[in-house]
Amino acid sequence: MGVWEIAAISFGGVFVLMMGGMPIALAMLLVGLSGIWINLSERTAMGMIGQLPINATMSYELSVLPMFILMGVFVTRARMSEDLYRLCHGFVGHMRGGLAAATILACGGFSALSGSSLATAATMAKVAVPEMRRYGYKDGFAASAVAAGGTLGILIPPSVILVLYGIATGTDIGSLFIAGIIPGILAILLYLAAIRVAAQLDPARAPAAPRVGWDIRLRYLRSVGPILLLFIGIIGGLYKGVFTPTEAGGVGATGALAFALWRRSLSWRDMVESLVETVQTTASLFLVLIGALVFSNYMNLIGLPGALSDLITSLGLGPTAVILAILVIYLFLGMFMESLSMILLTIPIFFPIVTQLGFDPVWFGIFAVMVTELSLITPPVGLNLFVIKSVIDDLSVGEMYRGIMPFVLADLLRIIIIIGFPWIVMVLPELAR
Amino acid sequence: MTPAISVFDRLCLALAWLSGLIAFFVMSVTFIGVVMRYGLRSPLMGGFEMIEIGMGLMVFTAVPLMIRRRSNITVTILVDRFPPALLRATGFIADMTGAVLMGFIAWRVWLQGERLLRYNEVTMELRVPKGLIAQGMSVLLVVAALAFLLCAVEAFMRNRPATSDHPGSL
Amino acid sequence: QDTKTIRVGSWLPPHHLIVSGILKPWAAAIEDETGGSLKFEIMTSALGPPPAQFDLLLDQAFDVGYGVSGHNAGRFPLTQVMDLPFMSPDPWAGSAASWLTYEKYGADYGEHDGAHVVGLFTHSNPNINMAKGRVDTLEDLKGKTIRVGGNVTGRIMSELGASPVQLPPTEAQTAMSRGVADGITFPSESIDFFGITPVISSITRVPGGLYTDTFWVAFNQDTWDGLSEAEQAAVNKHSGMAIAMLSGFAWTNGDKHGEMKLNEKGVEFVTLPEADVTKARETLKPLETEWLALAKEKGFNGEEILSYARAMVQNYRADTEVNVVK
Ligand code: NA
Ligand code: NA
Repeated sequence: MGVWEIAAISFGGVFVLMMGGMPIALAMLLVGLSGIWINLSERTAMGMIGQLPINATMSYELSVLPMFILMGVFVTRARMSEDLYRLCHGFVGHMRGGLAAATILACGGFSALSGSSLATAATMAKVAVPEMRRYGYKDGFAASAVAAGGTLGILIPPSVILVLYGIATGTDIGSLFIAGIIPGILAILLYLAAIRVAAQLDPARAPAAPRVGWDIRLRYLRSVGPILLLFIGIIGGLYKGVFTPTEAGGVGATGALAFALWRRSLSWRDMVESLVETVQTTASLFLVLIGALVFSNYMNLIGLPGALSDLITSLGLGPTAVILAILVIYLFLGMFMESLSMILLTIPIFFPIVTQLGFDPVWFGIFAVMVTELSLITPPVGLNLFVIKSVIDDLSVGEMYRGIMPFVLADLLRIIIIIGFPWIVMVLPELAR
Repeated sequence: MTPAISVFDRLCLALAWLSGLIAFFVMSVTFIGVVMRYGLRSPLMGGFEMIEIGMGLMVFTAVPLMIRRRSNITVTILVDRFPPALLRATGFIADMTGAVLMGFIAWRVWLQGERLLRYNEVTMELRVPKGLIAQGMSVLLVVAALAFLLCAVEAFMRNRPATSDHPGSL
Repeated sequence: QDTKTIRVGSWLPPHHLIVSGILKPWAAAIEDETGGSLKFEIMTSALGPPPAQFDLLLDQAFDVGYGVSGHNAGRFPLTQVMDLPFMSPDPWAGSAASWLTYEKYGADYGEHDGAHVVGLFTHSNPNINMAKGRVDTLEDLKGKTIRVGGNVTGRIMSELGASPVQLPPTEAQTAMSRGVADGITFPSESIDFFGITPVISSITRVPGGLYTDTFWVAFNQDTWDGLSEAEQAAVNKHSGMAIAMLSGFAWTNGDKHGEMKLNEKGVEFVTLPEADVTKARETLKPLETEWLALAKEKGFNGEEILSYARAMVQNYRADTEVNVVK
């Protein structure tokens, strides 16, 4: 059997197990381990699984994952997310599709404090969905706005995916974070445009809320003071060199805890629950990470990266053609695969190819995040959609798929834009260098 | 059977609390490290390693409860439509696979720990034997294997849903 | 004739000098020597982080591996004799001495059981690279935050009065440009390689070599035992001192490239005055004393090993004066 056959059977195996309800981490572990055992040797398989869990978890750099998750949990427990939504609601809620727009803006704001897309979506779903329902928004559209807005969590810094990408490829994490800012703003603008168009096409699905007076708006503005302060503290601290991107997680979590305590919105019990919630998410994340590492080591050992770059060389494709081909592969994988494992499995394979073609590692990092964002909302397997579904249980899948289409198109358009105009990504990191 | 299960679940919960405590510790070490370096111009010696060791222990103390609460990241799109009997079977197989894999990994990690101890490998700054940390992880992985085993038993006996409403992920 | 494919585990990008300047020419020479019976395949992506490389080799995840001895603290202490302060004045002398010393005493260390070491080498002299301000004397180091990669360098920096901060290489560039760290210890090669050149304003050289790292290149023992005598002879011919020589060239050329970039940017180069170097040697003496105690505890004559290593350094220094009547 050649490399391609082995790779196809293995990916297929993971997919079947995953669809059959096996936890993704286990599916990758099982296929990866037995693949190494069969195609390499028993000794390599047994040795690798002995040391990989130790090396993968005892990582200073990865400490940023639980810390950013913890910050998000504290911010939510302190009800700061509600303040944020109320503010956006107050400013844009009266426009057509205004509550959906407010949702996107609030997600964007929350993303600046949360490194996780799922946390952003889950947090905002609890706040925004009931409100949109109250004003008669169609469920599919309301849910989709939250699902799409949630993806901003990994594009606007801090970002768990950018951290993992930086570690996997040796790319400077600070530069990656800075590079995410303009594309993040672009994403917000395109989502707002998508909402506008969707509301225009079908006004019934997104009615306007009453206008809110300036006195109330200003009061709302004051209530998000702490969030603003925390955000400025983190970005400012990074910029002034007070701490590093990894340390920003721990500092941010400490700051969020301080605010929550100051507002007296965090009981002793809340505190324990926040910590347990954080480590639970962390544990599930690391199991997937370990599974993905075993599986990608397996692909590495059978020689998939080499075979792939040989193929591209033999086809004689130019840089843009290769990136478009990679985009198509990601679109396909993104429909069926879980996002985190998709990125962890493919980056080691694609990265050497694209950098050899002259793409900047920072640019490709942002590209990778954008395809991950897309995979989070594309049916049938889109984790953000699942999360929303767990908040609105009577939501029909068909309605949701119709609702998400404008946002998927906005995402695709954004990816095409950064391929055509890479400076949009590179201008800030180059200024900061 | 049931009292045994509830004792075990309490153990998992206690481990998760410990994990939360470690998370708090990692947060504090990071924060104090920044304050000491930036404010006092003297670094927190060993902070880097306290975080590394903390990370390793935080993950594996949290895994058993995560398994018991069925928070493993899972794709449910198809499973939701499975007839109950099939769901029970696939759930049982998945949990048993988890139990076997965790047990196998625990064994291999234990042996890697022995190797690290044999070669005197220590963490750079604090000189903690890495083999001991590895064997600690191994013990926790045994608890994780038992957690999967219990889930399998439950899936078999009570047709408890194989998935949770709150999959943890990004 | 059968071709044996030898998989070489690598955790650095293919253009890094260790891969392009040491491993590739080494492998090509052996392939030629064996008339094609051995074929080396250098992996393009890593199977694990640097500290995992030796265990991956033991488990035969690949047939040949390389790594930094200091990444596994406590595991290769005797092999690391060259890591002591002011042992390696240049990559030629450091690499030659590390290998020759290991060749003479290493078999008894028992630090690489399960692997067959074919070469050791060291990196070029690290400098003190400052983003802001400059270090003319040791006094100038006081209160400066210096990014270090590991605890030995960290200890060296704090003994010399600086405040070390341990950061992963992925954060080194931001840390320097944003001011988390005022300076960083790296050879000029690495400054360029990690893209730190734009933020550097001055560089202080430390004559004699503040520290170095001992790298190893080794076969998995079973892979080695499976080679024919002719194949082993071919490997031996191009390993050992040949690897040390490649290392001397590779690091020197890497530094030259890095310095060219730094000069283009107008970075100032300073040399630490002799009096300060002497002071630094004295300050760092305890590290040597501790190593000697450790060697003794393990049943080795540390003084003998150390003085042999020093003799080999003298023998292979790049700056040996010649054609001068003395
Ligand atoms: Na974010
Ligand atoms: Na998807």
